[in-house]
Formats: sequence, structure tokens, C-alpha cells
Amino acid sequence: MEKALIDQVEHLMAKAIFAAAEFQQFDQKRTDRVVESVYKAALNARIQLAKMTAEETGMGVWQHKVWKNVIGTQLVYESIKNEKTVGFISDNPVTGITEIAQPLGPVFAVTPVTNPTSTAIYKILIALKTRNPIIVSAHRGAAKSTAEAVRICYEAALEAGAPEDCVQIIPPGSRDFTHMVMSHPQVALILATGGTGLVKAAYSSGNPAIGVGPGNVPVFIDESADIEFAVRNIISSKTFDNGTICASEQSIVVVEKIEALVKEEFEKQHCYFLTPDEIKKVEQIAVTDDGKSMNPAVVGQSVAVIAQKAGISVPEGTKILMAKLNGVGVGYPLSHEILAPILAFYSAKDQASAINLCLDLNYLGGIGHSAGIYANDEHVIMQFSQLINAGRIVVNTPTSQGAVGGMFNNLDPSLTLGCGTGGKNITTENITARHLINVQRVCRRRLNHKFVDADEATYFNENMTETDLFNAYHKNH
Amino acid sequence: MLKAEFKEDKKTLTLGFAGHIDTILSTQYEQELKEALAKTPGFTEDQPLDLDLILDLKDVTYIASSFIRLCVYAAKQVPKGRFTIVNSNPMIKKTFKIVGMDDLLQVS
Repeated sequence: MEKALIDQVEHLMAKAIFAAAEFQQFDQKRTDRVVESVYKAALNARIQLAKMTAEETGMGVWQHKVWKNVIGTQLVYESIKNEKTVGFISDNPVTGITEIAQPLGPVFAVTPVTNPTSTAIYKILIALKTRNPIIVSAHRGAAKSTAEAVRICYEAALEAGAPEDCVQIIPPGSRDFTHMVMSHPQVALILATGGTGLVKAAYSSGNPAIGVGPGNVPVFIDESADIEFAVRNIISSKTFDNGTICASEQSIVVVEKIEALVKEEFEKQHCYFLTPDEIKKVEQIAVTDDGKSMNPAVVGQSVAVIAQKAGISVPEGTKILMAKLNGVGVGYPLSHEILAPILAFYSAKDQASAINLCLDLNYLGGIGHSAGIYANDEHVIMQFSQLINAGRIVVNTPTSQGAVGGMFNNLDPSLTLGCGTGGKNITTENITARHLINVQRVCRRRLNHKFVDADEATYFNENMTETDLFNAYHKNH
Repeated sequence: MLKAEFKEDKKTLTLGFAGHIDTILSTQYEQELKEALAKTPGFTEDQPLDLDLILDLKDVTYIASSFIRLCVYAAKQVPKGRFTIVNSNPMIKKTFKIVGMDDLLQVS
């Protein structure tokens, strides 16, 4: 490895570890002052950063990126501002256990091209709230806007008395640099938000990592649903930033009985059902040659751009391209995740078949991520939820905004959505500040009398069976 | 204000620090430390001082990262093994521990 590169990484890590050492001396009040200052500065920069990101990435809708920045700043801040993250965080005199929050140390945060500034700000806020210095690695496609978000946050942090170098960013475009930092022994945790390759690299680095999994979000519209409401919500979600949120709807599944009504409603609300011939054309530009992966060229693009690339003509003002498909997986490229305003549409003969289809879609590369259901029948909601493998099953809610949390439900607002073991992650939770502390437990002596009062000889007597030991343990004198 | 005490017979220079040493106070201390070293008999720009340099942190409640860097700089002004930090409270001791400098700087 090139010496200059090694020196650069060591210098970066030395600064981070010095910042960590200083930061761990902060009390809650000083920590919260830093977080408040960063939140205010980032929220004030929401529009400039949104415009900059849209221009740099060529993806999405800048107005929607403003909302994403608001989610990453205001909603995240409101959800964490009163959290205890420093020192004594709980004390239970009955159990005798006192919990103490300790910082982790330098956090290495990888941010994606689809939600760059919002993810960077959110990660900076949760890292600073927990007294952890953070090193951001931006996607090369959003390097400038991410760097600007990082600069704004860092300056605001310094103004509020944060340690020098508590927020750093690595130079863009160097894969070696990223991997060296990722596996550096002084990195305490990697927050990896990105594609499967990146997440796997993070988990293989030897350092603890919190990653995300890929999504392929199925949404079931049950016959008990309010169809107009369901369609309106789905459209607001799938068109949000041109579908760049990984929790956005990928497939709509209905039962035959309501298929015509749902289809009519989508058309009424300006969505266009592609003909079989048009589906072929869209497949060719939306998915790469392997037939499984979305083509980056369509990610976050508008319907007009996608239609033009596909060489098809759609009515002006079309919000989503709908593709009625008869199968899932091989031979049906549009059944895979595509972060663009393209939606697969399925009809099933009955409720059970519809849920089976949702399971097929769920297991086609989106295990553990998110799913949605529109229904007013609690029984079907629970049946669907128990079967589907998703960290978040959002009910009567747009999945993009619903899974991110804080707007339509009480999930923690987050731009890193855990996908459980199905997505090769350690948690299904929305990642937030509480995931960035080491909780130490002070355990005072509280005797388990059932155990300590049991006759020791019983346990050493070979004639005693498990029933005898059960009785000895539970004896109530 | 830095308290400097030079004992010629024992060849020791003890520098006493106090307070909440944030970045601003650390910068001030850096200046004072350099002045104290320059005033020490036998000081030259390019040779380590022939003495034991002791940084007394008895009344220090907080240290910024810049102060840790200052300690590393100070340690380089005397021969290896002749630099010590004394009277650090446990929080300060832990701060040096986290950066992995407690052995090098002989923090107690």
C-alpha cells in the first residue's frame, strides 16, 4: 500500500481518536448544545443543500430533497433531543441495575447517492448526540453536496464548543482509502448505508457495523381498503423524490375482485398502465443485463425521462408507469427493486394467493426491509404481518415516508433502516442515537434466593432428576 | 497562568496547569510552556533539555485534544523517559488512555 495513503489514513484516525478522547468528557448539557447548533444550521441549509444535491446527482426532485433534509434534521432532532445519552441513563432500585451510556469512539459513516445530505446530517446528529466523532464517506456521485452538508454541520458543532475534528469527511473517489478506514482498528462502528457490496465490505472489515439490506417492497391492497385513499398514498410515496427511497413501493398486489377498481383509480390519478410491448421496452432500460439489478441510469429519474429512454409515449403528467405482470423473478425484470417511478402490478384470485405473491416479492431480494398493506380488516393486517419478512410493515401509509418514521407513525425517524438477519443486519430497527452508545450496567447485589437457598447437595446427587431440581429451585418453604 | 518551578539541583522542571483547558486556554498554555522551556538554563532550539519535565495536572478538570497535542510536543523536548504527567484526575487519565498516550506520556 502506498505510504502517502497510509499516512493520510493514520492522520485522519489520529484526529478522530483525539476528538473522541475530548468528547467523552462532555456532560449531557454540553453535548445537547452541540447537537442543537448542528440541527439549526443544517435545517437552515435545507434548501441550498437540496438544490445542490439534485443538480449534482441528476436524481430526484429538489423540493422532495428539501423534505428529506427536514426529516434528517428536524424530525431526527425532535426524536432525540430529550434522550439521555450521556452518563447515568437509568436507575432501577428494585433490580439494583443502573445504566450508564458511554460513547463508542469514532464512527465511520458511509452515505448513499440517493439520500446524500439528509443521511449525512442525520448520522452526524446521532453521532454527536452520543459523543462520538464521525468520519463521513460520501458516494462519489454526491461528493460535493455531502461535503457541503458536512462542512455546515462541523462549523456549527465547533461554534457550540464541540471538539476539533469531531466531524470529518474523507476525500472522494478512493476505494482504497475507504476500505483502509473501514478496517482501521480505531474505528468503533461503521454505519453503512448503501448497496449490498458496500454493506458486505463493512461487515467483513473486522469492525462492528450497522448496515442496511436491499428492499423490494410489496404492498397489498386488501378488499377492505379505501381504494382511492390507498392509491393516493401509494402515488405520493412512489413519486417522492422520483422513488429514490429504498422503502418505496415496488409492487402492488390486489385480489381479482377489486383489480378493475384499483386500476381505474390509478388511471384516474394519472398513472399509466404499460402495454406488454411497452413493458418490454421499459425492462430493457430499467434493469441491467442480468435481469435482476436496477440500471443506475433510471434511478431517481422522472417518468418523462424514463419514457424517453425507453422510446415510448405516455400521457403528459403521468406520475407512475404501471406494469401488470404475471410472474415474479426470472423472466420478469420489473418484479425486482427499481428506485424510480415504475411499479409492478399483480392481481391474485383471492386473499391467500395475494399474500403468497407478496411473499414471493418479499423474498426476491427484499427480505427484512419493508412492506405495506392497505386494509381495514385487522385480521388480514395481522395475518399479512406475521407472514411477511420485513422490519417495518406499514399500514394504510405510504411506505417511503412510513418506513422512514416520524411522519405517519411513531417509528424513529431514520435514514438507515435495519433489515434484520434477512438483510444480513443485526437489527430490524430504525437506527438512531440509542444504537450508538455502549450501555454499561452497574449491577448491585440482589440475591436470587431460589438459587442460593437451594440445597447444594441436591445438585451433586446423581439420583436427583430434573424434576427434583425444578422442585428444589421453586420450593416456597 | 502556568506555574513553572525549576529545581536546578534535581534538574527538574515542573509545570503546573489548572482549570478547564479548552482549545483557547490550551493555546495560551502552549505559548507559556514554550516560554518556560526557553527560559530554562541549557535550552537550545535543536537539542533536548537535560532535565526531567513534569506536567502537574492537579487542578485540571477538562482537556481539549489540542492540550494532548501540547503534551506530546512537550514530551519531545526532553530525552525519552524523562517526561511525566502527574496528579491527573481519573477522567483526565481516561482521556489519555483513549488516545493511547498514557504510557508514552507516563500519566499518573
